Amino acid sequence: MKTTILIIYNKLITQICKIFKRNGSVFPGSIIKKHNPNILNKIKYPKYVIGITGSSGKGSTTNEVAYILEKNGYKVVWNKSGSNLVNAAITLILNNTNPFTKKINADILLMELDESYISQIFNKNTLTHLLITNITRDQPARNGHPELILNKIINSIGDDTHVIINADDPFLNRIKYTHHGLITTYGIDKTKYDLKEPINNSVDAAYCPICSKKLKYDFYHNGHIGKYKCTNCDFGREKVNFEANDVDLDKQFFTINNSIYHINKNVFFAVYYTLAAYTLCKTIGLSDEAIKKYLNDYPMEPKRMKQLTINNRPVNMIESKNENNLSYYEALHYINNQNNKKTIILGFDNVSRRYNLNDLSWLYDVKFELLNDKNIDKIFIIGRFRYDVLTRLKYANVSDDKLILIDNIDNLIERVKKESTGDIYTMVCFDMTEIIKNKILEANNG
Amino acid sequence: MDKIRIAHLYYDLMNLYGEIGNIMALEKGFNDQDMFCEITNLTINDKIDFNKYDIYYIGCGSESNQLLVINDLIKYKNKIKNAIENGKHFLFTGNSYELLGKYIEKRNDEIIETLGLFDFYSKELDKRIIGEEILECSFFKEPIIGFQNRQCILNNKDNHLFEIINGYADNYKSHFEGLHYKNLYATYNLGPILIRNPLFKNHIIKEILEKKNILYKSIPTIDEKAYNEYIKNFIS
Repeated sequence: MKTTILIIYNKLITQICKIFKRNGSVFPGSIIKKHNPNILNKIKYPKYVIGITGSSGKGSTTNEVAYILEKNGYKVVWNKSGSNLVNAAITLILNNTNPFTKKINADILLMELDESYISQIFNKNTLTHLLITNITRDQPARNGHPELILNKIINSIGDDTHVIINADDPFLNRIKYTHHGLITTYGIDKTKYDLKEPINNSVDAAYCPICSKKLKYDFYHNGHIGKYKCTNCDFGREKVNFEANDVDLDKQFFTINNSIYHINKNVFFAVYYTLAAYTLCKTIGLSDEAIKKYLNDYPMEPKRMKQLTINNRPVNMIESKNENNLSYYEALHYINNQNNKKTIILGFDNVSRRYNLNDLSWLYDVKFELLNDKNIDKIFIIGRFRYDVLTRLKYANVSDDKLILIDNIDNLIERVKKESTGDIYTMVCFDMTEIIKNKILEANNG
Repeated sequence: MDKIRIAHLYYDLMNLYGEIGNIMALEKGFNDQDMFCEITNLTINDKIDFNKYDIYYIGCGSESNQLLVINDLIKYKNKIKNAIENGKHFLFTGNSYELLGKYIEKRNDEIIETLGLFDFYSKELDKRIIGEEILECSFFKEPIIGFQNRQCILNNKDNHLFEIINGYADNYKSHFEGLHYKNLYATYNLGPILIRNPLFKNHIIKEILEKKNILYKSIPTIDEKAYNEYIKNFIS
């Protein structure tokens, strides 16, 4: 079918979805793809076609980049909904394309991209820029392992694409040996939050990709991300184009070239996505002032579910990401760093939102030993896999008197009220956040 | 307190899927038997003594890490063979199982020589084999639960460890998975298989204690409830 007709068709289906209050961010693209799987090759792209990918932080980086660019007057088409697979990309791009000129109605197309689907969305060299945040163990049942993810990304870009990488990640630093186009690097200097030793023995990319000698780390920011050097050859985290210094999470800032930049959240990965957003904007030609003015304006992350309380105890709802052990660890680390008396609700009904396989191995890649914290009063364990989580916590030597298994979710709030003290942190998977929220609201209203 | 020596081989290369759980399982399991455990992490360029330890464990790794390991391990071929024949305990999980065969045939037709201790070879596929497993073994009647995520098939014809109830065998024609020879156990199942299958863990612990003439005490362990609940909720 002619491209013009398909573009109009896509817009029409999207409108129909809106009328019937259906999610129209994916479905229209799925219909169009059946008519022409190569429809995106027929589009005239703007000067900048920017992709942001990686195992974690790509959504936060994309949001921040879009904010800065739009505030600076650029017309940006971007996937606000976070849908980052093929059908969503077709829907978004065609909805913003003139059916007659086939031009995208924007200065910049900005796409958060799933690492595994870049090549199914764009031809090699369509992306003018690709920023890669990190490569970690992520959805192993779908992605296999980090090296396979990296290879998929490498194979989906051509040398015309300007690649922007987090050079603190030794996986990403390998790209300089395969990519012959432009590369811009960013990284974080030593901070007071770094570790001398790795979180556990499961450090990926531990060996030099050139000479196979073990990499030596000056410090670890998290997982395999930090400052590393091969003791035998030149491979290492060398000087980067843009470096964050003086990181202060309590005061929520860091510096680049002695200039202060704010982060919108007091967690370490906020430094990474803010630095990534800065680097990308700088790479496409924005000035420090143009970036800084709006970056420092960027809305603070609202305290999650601040309004919710149980018996006047605040409830902080943190959505865990089971399939990514480093993200999960960061969330545990955040709870661990709160110096108040606390109670935690942990658990999940499904391992992933992307697949329904019961791969529980990641439980042993996460350092649950962090929960041996004297400020934790009780840990309530919920969900279909509660006995597996309980076993993991017992292996982490969390004392039995802190662990409470909830067989019936209807009793959760009452038991939390009666049997625990302190601020409440829920650390549950995507599928249980709403359930718990509703239980709290029911309890408070009843 | 008697001491059990555990060697975690290539701990920093073959650890993709929570494999450390198997070391934790052995340590806790032996501690429950009032045995002290000494765990030694060994890797490339370390001198590995194949007489010293009570059990040797290798987990699963990426394909490139697997190559680094075989380059280092192959020099111990005869020592490993003797240790196996002499009844040392070995546990191989995930693609470390492939190291025991004659070679791995890569997708680009390259042949990677492996230990050659058993009469099989592995062949790399274009697509990964990923999925849950329910298996049967000869040591107890309860099923083994597992998970696989691998790039190869292999053609082992003897000394099978598990029979497939549901899931992937060594290759598409076989009904068997894994290798069991004397006190060597190898399986494509990866991750914390000993925690998820406490009976399998107890079986190995019991065998090691028997070699030392120490009576195995049957006591409840912290992972049994999780196993029983998993079987009840997901398999029965």
